[in-house]
Amino acid sequence: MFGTRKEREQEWAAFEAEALPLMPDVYRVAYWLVRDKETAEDLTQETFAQALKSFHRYMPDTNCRAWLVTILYRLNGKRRMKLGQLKLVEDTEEQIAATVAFEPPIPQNLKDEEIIEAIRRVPAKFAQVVLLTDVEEFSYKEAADLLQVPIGTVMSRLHRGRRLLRQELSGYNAHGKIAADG
Amino acid sequence: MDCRELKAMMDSYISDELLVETNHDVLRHLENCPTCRAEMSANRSLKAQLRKSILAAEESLADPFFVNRTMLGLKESALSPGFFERLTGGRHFVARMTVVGLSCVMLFVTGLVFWMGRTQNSPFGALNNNTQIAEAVRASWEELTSHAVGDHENCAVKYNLKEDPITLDEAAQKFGAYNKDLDKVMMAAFTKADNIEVSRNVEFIESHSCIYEGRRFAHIVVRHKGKIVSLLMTDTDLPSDNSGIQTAVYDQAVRAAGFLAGHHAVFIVSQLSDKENVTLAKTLAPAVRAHVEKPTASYRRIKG
Repeated sequence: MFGTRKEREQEWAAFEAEALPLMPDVYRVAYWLVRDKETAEDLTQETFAQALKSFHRYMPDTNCRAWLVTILYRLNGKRRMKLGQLKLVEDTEEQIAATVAFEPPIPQNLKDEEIIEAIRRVPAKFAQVVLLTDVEEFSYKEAADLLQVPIGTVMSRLHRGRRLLRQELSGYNAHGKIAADG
Repeated sequence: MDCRELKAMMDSYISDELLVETNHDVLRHLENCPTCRAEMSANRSLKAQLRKSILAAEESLADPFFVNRTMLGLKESALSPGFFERLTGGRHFVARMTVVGLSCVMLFVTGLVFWMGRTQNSPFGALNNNTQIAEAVRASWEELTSHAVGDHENCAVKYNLKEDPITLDEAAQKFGAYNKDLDKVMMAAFTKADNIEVSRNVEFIESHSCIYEGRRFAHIVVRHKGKIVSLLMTDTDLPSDNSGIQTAVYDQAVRAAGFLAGHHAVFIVSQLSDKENVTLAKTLAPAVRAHVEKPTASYRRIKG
């Protein structure tokens, strides 16, 4: 942030009103992205520091949450690149698709813990799309932009992610066998 | 639209991604197809349940202290003057420029020395912005806590303050209405506590408003389990927070438990265990927060 004190105060006031209330949301997205509290806190802090620096680029009254989560995803990409975790691998969606043809019924009266455990067991690539669209309520286009994949990929991952979640909740693993804890 | 076509669109319908016309086609099919209706209903219900479970999950919730500290760090970072403004703003411009000139010369000389091979490592490594923010926030809280501990030791234990304390009533007039009856509020909270050890075992000694290291505290001194305990309340710029109690240990003996109440930080400082300090803090927190939120507690914030 540059400029006079008055300009900085005005920009801070706008940032405080638009971006800061979204910190718990951004933390939640970060947590379910990396599944680790400390890393999620680091990413959230870095996201807001970056957002503050470039807040002049943010268009008022547009989707601030999507903007912040985009920064979060970019920073996580860089973090994974540094850790050597970001690899370009062959898309295994087709292989997984072949294993999830069976659509089990959804059990009734599910507990929160059962659902949380089930989504944890869904492969990250599919769980991410389910979480972004079903929990965070991002549109297909927003999810595609965040993940830097085509909308069609978002749709297919969402379909498979939801189906895998149903399987996990029904006590079936991806191979159609009863899960150990099911 | 037949069942096969509907299944292909079910995900997009649930995600509200279909065109209005297509939505109508889906609805028409659902009206006449109980199988697809049941399938759709189950999928929508699962989506809602997943959202509810994730939003309520403990691991999804950010630590309030983390949020507050980050917010404070960002605020400091946002409002601190830029380099040019610091250089040119205010009085003593010539003196500032002289200092800058000398600094430049020193930097040049230092750089030359390094270049000449006297050392391999540059001492001017780039500072990580996030580290600075985290450090600034941590430092703010640690400074508050250490002042509270210092006030406890120099006022309640040794009576070694530079300035005489004033009554809470006088402090209420000069520094904020929240001082008024703060001691009564705190003692009432202890008396009403569910924990018998607290309700029957906290003895009031005295209350006043005092200054330690330039920071003013409302200071209530009590005795609990044979130890002197200071209940200290001071102004802070940390954002308001309604949960979380932080503890700190000084010299392995004096321990502090702190929490935020509106624009105030409240500390329990004593030689009790962390657990006992936290119990006292948890007993006080709701009453103190209610007290500072009362309209009559609005005040001019004056430090020192």
